[in-house]
Amino acid sequence: MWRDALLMAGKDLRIEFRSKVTLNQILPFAFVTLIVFAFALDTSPGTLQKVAPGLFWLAVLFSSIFSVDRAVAIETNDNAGDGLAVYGVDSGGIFLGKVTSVFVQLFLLEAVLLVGVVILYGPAIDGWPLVLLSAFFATVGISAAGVMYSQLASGSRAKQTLLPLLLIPVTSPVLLAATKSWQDAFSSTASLGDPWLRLLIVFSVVYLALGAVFYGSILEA
Amino acid sequence: MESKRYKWTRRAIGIVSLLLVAATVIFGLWITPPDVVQGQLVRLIYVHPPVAWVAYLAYGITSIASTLYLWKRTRNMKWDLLAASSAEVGVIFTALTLVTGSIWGRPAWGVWWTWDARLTTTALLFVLYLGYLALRRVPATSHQRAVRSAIAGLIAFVDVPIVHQSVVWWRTLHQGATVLNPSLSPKIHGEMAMTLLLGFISFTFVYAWMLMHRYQIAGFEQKILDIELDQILEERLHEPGMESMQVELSPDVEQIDRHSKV
Amino acid sequence: MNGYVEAGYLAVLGVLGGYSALLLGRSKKLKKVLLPVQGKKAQDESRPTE
Repeated sequence: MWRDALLMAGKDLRIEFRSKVTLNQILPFAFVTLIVFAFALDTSPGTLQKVAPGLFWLAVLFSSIFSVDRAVAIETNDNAGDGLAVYGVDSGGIFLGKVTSVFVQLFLLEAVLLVGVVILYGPAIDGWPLVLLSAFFATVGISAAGVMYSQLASGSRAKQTLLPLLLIPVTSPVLLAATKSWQDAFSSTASLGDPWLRLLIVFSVVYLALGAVFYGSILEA
Repeated sequence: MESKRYKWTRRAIGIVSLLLVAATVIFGLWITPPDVVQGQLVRLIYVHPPVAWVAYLAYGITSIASTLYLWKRTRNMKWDLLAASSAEVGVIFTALTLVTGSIWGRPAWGVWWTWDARLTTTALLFVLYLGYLALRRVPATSHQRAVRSAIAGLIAFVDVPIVHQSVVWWRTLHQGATVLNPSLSPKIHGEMAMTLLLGFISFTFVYAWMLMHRYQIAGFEQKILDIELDQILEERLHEPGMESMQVELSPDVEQIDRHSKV
Repeated sequence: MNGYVEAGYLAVLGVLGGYSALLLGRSKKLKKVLLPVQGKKAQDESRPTE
């Protein structure tokens, strides 16, 4: 399973490296949202610093919809997934591989986006360990839930509208928890015992487990 | 097409629930006295919590039925149809929970909506199961649809405590929960408690009746789908050139036919 | 009373009543569709034995 997962992740990342969809489309999209968020709010000092974590995670959540959609579309287009089944690739491995590939892409996107947030909104960041750890688990959670839902909604013509409807309510605790723990990290109250970090860990573990168990049944059906 | 026993049970439950709801309304609106603190507003207590309870009950049944479908030993199309029926009724009751909560909140708190933990969780629950119902409308073979929606139903159910916990923290780390404000919580006793209990029982009966009806409809739809598919197959087998079909196909069926890899 | 209470009860009774009516209508319609089809099927099956 682990070997399959690594192979899948490598394959998907190679496809991404060649097609550069995340770099050329999803990342610019995330940046545009950062800019229009400022239009919708107010640029008066204090406002943007205060809401910066929330806007950051909202931008990530929206971008993740495109990433997970693509990750699954690679397999469903031209029925490439049937080939994987024929070669006997483990379904849990496929799931973990897809999650890893989406995770890597989103994490890199977050790194670039964070620079954008610091420049555009100007928050002061104190607790770097908390920032990194909560970003890590939040991204795992979003990727796991996202890949699973994207697979659930695949094959439908209404997928583009169905996926956000399914994914956003489910990942809303991640949005909330990641925002809150970043707010703690941005202020001086940062500590690694943050309850929000624990919630992010629970969420990511639960969704990784659910995916590992159910992904096979979704693929087979 | 429908067993006599099922039909009569459903009818009996329907009549009982009509009577019970009528009794709840009469007791709730006229017989019970107004509350000392809340005045007339307390009368909404006889419908709001029972309606919310039914919503949770419905989702619980959806998850149990989904599990029974996913478990290969108990796999049966019936569980899928039951899960779908219960989820639809649950969405109706969730909407009513939100509406009655909002109507109560306006005079009690002065606002239609407050970011109270329970209210927010209920709103997310509503959207989660709307998504579940939307997923069910995606054209697929029966088995495909059943597996997908069963998994989606289970994920939604697993998500509920996480959502609830996050929203509770979100609110309570900043301000006290408004609902639990002791000056607002009514003292329930005697006649009022009886009426509240009556409310719980009567709406549960309403749920049972709706579930039985919705489940039967789901069964009919499944049967019609099967018959139509049979007919299409037969016509294609026997008359290869024939285009006109005797049964008018609904667009869903056409899509399913095209999608299925049979 | 105070308007809110009535509105709440009306909303509950209205929505539940409306949904019930919808259910009844739908099952009636489906039964109508299903009856002739099943009747025909039964006829087809009984014909050879006649």
